Amino acid sequence: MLIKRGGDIKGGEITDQALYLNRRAFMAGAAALALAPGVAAPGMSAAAPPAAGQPLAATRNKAFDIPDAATKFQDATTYNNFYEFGVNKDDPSSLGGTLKPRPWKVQVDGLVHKPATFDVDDVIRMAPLEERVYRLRCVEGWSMVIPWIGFPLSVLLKRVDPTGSAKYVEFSTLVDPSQFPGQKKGLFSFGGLDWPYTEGLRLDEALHPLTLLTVGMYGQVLPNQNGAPIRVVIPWKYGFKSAKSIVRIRLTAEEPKTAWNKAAPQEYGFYSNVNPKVDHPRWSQATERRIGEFRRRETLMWNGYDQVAGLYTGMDLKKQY
Amino acid sequence: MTRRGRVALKVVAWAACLAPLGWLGYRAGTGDLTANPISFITNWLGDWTLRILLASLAMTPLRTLSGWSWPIALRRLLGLFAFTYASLHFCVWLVLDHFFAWRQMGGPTSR
Repeated sequence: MLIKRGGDIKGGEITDQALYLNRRAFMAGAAALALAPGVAAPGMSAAAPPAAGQPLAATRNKAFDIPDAATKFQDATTYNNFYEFGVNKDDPSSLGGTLKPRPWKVQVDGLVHKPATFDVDDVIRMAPLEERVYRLRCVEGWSMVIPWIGFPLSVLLKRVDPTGSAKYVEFSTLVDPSQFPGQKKGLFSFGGLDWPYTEGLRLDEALHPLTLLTVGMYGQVLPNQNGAPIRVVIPWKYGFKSAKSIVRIRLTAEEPKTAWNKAAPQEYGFYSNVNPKVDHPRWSQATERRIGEFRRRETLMWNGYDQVAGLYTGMDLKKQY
Repeated sequence: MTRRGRVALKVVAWAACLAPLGWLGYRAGTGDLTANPISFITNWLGDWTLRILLASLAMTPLRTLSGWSWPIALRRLLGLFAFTYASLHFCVWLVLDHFFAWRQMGGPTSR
């Protein structure tokens, strides 16, 4: 069932593998550009900063098409986990209006040769925007299918030129209780997560062509409740790995401390790859409920993205969950 | 407490315990059970199980501390409603959520 690719790459050869994947990403991007010469124009010429709900032009990348039907926009924008707004699924959509996605800066620093702070509108123009339909599997046992808009994170990372000692990438979400009511300290506030919400990837995971720096969905600018103005989407990992409303991307030599791993290390590992054979301590991960469907369906290894299997060759997935 | 007072108390308690089910039915009728209705119903019934159970367990201490006798009249009623909600919660989880797939349900907890 598993289609292993690049099985000759050992786990220790992280840098080489990253470069290898990076080159593939570059070639894929170049090919997409060659095939669709008109793509760059709409993004480049955008004069006014786009607001949530505004249409966002992008070219569908059919290489990532899947047979699954897309989740209804209404469901994808009202059933969200985004604890910065609150712990309930409808908090992000009902309270999301307080987030101001412009002006917005993204600081990219750490172990890089060219650290920089980018305006989010400049980030959006770094590469032609692609639409990619990805499965999204939440660690809680439900899933969606979402047409995201963005480009590979590797484009941004190459721009800042990671040093040879960079091995990990850390993402941080905005901290501002006036914009994120869930970050307010109060008598009944949720005490389980440390702000800022941080997430992380190994550098080769971050450079993988599937890892998408995301600024839109369903043909629109990203809604606040889905992580405006800029987030990552890592489709082979549980949803909480895909950090939202990012203000900082830092390259490090050490594995970043991630928010859910700090809150409950026995339940949420650093890797958190979708794996039907490794259960959460409190529930099975063998099946999932696709939002909009009645019966549960089988969860797929790597959430169906078998092309990432080579990143984990030789790892004990039960121990490094 | 008079007989009439006790009847009135029980009518109020019945109404209060049935209200969450009524509200659930209303939300189902108006299509307001979120994008994941089965999960919402399971959590709703589980939350109310705990609330009513806590209320039933509070009756004896309430009597002890206050000296009132009426909490004892509600103790069994609340306890039975807690059991009812727990049973509904379990049935929804078993039938709607997992459809009798015992292996899925037992897997993680059997460790």
